[in-house]
Amino acid sequence: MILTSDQIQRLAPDAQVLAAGQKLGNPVQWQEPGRSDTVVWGECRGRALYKVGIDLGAMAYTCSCPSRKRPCKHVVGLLTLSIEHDSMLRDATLPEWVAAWVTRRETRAQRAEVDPSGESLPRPPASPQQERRADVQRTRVLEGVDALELWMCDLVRNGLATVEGQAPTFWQHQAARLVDAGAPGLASRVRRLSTIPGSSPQWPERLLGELGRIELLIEAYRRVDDLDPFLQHDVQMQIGRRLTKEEVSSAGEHVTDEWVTLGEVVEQDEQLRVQRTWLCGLRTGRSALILQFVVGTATAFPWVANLNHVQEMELHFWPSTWPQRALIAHRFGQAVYSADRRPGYATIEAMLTDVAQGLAANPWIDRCFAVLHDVVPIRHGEDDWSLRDRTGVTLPLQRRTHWRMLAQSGGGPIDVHGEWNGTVFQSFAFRTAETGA
Amino acid sequence: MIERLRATALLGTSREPVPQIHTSTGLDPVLTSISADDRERELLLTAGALAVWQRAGYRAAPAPAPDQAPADTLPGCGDELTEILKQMLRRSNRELVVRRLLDREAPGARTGLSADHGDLLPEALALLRTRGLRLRYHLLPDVLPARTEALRAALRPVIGQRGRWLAGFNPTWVWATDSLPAYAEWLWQNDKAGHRVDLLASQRRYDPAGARARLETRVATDRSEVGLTLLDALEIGLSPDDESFLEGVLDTRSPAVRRRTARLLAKLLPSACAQRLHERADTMLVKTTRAFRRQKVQATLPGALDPTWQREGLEPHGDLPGIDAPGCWLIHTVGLVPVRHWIDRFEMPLEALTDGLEGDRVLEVLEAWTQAAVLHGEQELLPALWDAWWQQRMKPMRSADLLVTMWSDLAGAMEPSALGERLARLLDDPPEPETTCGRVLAAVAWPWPESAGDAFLRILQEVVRPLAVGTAPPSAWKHVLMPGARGIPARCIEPALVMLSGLPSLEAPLDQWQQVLDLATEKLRIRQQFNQELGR
Repeated sequence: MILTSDQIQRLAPDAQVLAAGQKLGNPVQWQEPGRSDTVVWGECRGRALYKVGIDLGAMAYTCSCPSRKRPCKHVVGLLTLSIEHDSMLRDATLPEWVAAWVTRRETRAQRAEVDPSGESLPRPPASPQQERRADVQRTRVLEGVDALELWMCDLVRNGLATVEGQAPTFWQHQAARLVDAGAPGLASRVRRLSTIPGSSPQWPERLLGELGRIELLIEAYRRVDDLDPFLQHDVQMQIGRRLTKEEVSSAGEHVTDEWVTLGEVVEQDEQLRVQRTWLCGLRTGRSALILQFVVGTATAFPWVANLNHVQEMELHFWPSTWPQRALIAHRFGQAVYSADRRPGYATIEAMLTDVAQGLAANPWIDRCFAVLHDVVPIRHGEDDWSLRDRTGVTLPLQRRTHWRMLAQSGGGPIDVHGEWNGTVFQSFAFRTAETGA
Repeated sequence: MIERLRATALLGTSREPVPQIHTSTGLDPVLTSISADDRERELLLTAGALAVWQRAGYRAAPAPAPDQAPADTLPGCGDELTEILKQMLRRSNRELVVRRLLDREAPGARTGLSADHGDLLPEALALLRTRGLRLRYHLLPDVLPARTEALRAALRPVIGQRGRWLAGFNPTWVWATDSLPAYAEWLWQNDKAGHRVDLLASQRRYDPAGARARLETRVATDRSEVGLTLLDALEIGLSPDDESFLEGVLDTRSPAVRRRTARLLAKLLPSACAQRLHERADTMLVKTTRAFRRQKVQATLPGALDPTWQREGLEPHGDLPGIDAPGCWLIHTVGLVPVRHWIDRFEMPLEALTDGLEGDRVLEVLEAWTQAAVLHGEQELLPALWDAWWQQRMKPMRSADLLVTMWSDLAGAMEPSALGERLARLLDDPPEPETTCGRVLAAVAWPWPESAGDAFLRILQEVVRPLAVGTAPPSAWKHVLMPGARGIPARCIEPALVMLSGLPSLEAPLDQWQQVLDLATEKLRIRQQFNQELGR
C-alpha cells in the first residue's frame, strides 16, 4: 500500500484537521507505533493518550479521542507518520485493542455483506400495509411529476427569455417540491438547470434540451410498467428511487475483476457532497462508478480510493440497461500500486460509438468514463483546449488550463482518463509512456 | 438541429409556432410520432428527442497535428528531489500560493509547511544546474510563472528544451523562450500585465538589434510609450549600437525616464552622454590640500540647475526624499561616473578618498560612489566602500534604510572572499537599529562565504546557550537566524542542526524565539535533504 500526502489531504475533513494532523506526524508524539500487513496503529500523546488504528486496505480508522470530526487529527497524524517516518513503525502483531477493533469491523462487514452466491437474501413478503404505503408513495411522485410538467409547460409557453436573470430560488423552489413528492433525482436535475441561463450564447438551446430530457423522463415514468425491466430500473433511479444493497445485489450484475481506481471528483449538491469514483476492470475493460454521499463539509467520505491502485474485487452493479453505478461487495487480497497502461479506446470515434450505444439504451446517462489512448493535448486559446487522437479528430477538454498535461506530453501522444458529458471531456489524470500514471 | 427551436423556446409557444424538424435520419419517424395534446409538451418532447440524438451523434472535429517539443539532452532530476521541490511548490495546490511562493517580494502565504521556503529554490536550482540535471516536466507549470529576475535566472538553465517549448504557448511565460514565439506580435500589440517587457528582455538575449528595433518603432509612434521597465530590458545585451536610440530617448518628457536612459548611456563608455557626465561631475568634486599635506575632497555644488543638465533627468527641485536639490544633482551625476575616474583624477587611493571626504555632503558623495562602483562593476573598489559605510554607521542619515540599501547593493556585487569577513564583522557587532543586520543578510545571495557561515555558527551558539538555561539572547540575533538558515554554506548545515536539536521546548516569554528557531530548523532540514539528494 502506497499512501501519498495528496491522499491525506483529500481524506482530511478540513484544513484545520490537516494542519494539526501534519504536526502530529512527528515521531515524538507517538508511543508504540506499529504495523501489520494492512493495519497501522499507535498511541498519540495529547491531553490524554489516544489509541489510533487505521486499516489501510479499506481506509477505515478508529480513534479514542472525543473529536466529532472524522477522521480526526490523530488519524491524519498517524497517516503522516506512516509516510514521512516509515521506519518508526515496527512490524508487530496486533495489540489487543487493535485486534478487537479489526474483529468488530469484520463481524459488522459480514453482517452487512450480501450472500456471496449472488442470490438475494430472503426478504419477508410485503405486508398489505407496506403495499398501501408504496401506493401512496407512487401517487405522490406522480402528483409531483404532473406539477413539474405543468411548470415546464408554463415556462415554454411564456418563453425561456423570461428565466434569464431569475434568482436561484426560482429553480430551488420547484426542486424542493419534487423532494417533498419523493422524487429527489428529478429535483437534482431541476437544480442543475439553474446554472444554464446566461452561461453561454447557446444557453436557450441547452436549457430547452435539458427540459426536453426531463419531459422524456416524465413520459417514461408514466408508462414505467410497460418498459423493459432494466429500463424500469433506470427510469426509477432517475426519478430518485433508492435501492438497498440487497436489492442491488439481487437484481444487478456481479463482476469480479482486477479493478483499478482511475478518477475521482467531488461535487456539491445542496447540502450534500457527492463523490464519484471511477474504477476500471483490467480484464473486462469495464468501468464502474462508486457514488458516495455525505452531508456537510466536516465529514469525510467513508471510502477513500487509492488512485492507481489495483485490487481484485467483486462489484455488484445497479440494475440498468447500461450499468455504470456499482458497489464493492468483496475485496480480495491487497490493493497494489500500478503504473501500467489501462484498457481504453484507441480512437475518439470508438469512444463516441460506445457513448451512443449507452444513450440508445438509457437516454438519461449524463456522463461516461473513458480512457483515451494516444491523444495529444492542443491549446487553441486561453481556456480552450482539446484532445486530438491518431486519426486527427478532437474532443474539447473542460474549460480550464491543462498546462501540466501539455508539459508532460511535449506534443506527443499520452493516455488521458476522464468523463465525457456530451459536451466536454473532463480529464482526471493522464499517463505518458515515459512516466506511467 | 435543436437550434431551429431557439426562437420558439425564447419567445414562447404562445407567440411562436413549434417548427417541424426534419433530420433525414432515423430520428424523423420518432419526431413524427410525437403527438402531444398541447404545443408545449410537443415542443418539450421534440427538444428532448433532439437533445439525446445530438448527444449520441456527437461528431469530433478535425484539427491539424501540433508541433512536438525538441528532445532534451539533460536528464531529469531524481524522484526524491522532485518530491521535495513539488512539496515546496505545490503544498497547497492553489495557484495563488504557488505564485507567492515563487515571488520573494510577495507576503508569505500559508502552506502545509510552516513557511513558504520559496527562498530556497535558487539553491536547489543551482545545485541541479551544477549536476547537469533539469526539472522534471510536470513541475514546469509550477515554476514558469516565476516573476523575479533572480529566480528566472536560476530557472533558465534547468527548464530544458521542454520548458522553452512550453513557454512558447503562454504569453505570460515569454521570459523563458529562446526564440520569437508565435504570439510575440500579439503580445507586443496587446500589452498584458507587463509581459511586453518580458518579451523585450527575452528578445534582447537572442536578438538585441531586433528588440531595439521593436522599441524604436513604438517610440516613433508614441514617445510616451517608453516606460522605465522597457528601458530596463535594454540593459540586457547593451552595446554601442544602442547609443543613438538612447540619445533620442533623452529628449523624452519624463525626468525619470531620462535619468534611467542616462544610466544606460553611462555604462556605454565612451558614449557622448558619458563624456558629458564626466565633465559635469568634475565640477562637483574638488580636491584641496591642507596643512601637513592632508588632502581633502569636497563637494562644490551650484545653487541653481544648469538647464542643459535636465536632459539627463536632473530636476530643479530634486527628486530624492530627505535630500535637497543640489544633493540630488550630485548623486545622479557622480553616481554615474566610475569611481576609478576619481582615483585617477585626484591621484589618491579610494581609502584615502573616503577618509578625506569633508563638508556637509560626505554621505551624498559616498552614496554616489557606491552606486557608481556597483553600476560599473568595479569589484576591487567595493570592499573599501563597505568599510567607509562601516565608519559612518553611527551618523544620522537621510533615511533609516540608506545603510541597509548601500550594504545590500554592495553585498550583491562583492566577491565572496571580501564579503565573508565583512559579514562576519556585521554579525559579531550588529549596528543599530537591530533589524539592520538581518535585512542586509537577507539581501546576500546563497551561498554565503565560508567565513560568514562560521560566524553564523558562532552566533547560533550564542543564541542557543542562554536559551538552554531559560534566558533570552540579544534580540538582534532573532533577525539573522532566517537569512542564515537560508544562506550558510552546505557544510555548516549539519552543525547548525545539531545545535538547534539540543534545545528544550521554550515557553513564554521565550516562545517567540521558539517560533523563529522552528522555522530556521525547517529551512535547514529542507536544505539538508536536497543537498544530500544531489550530493549522491
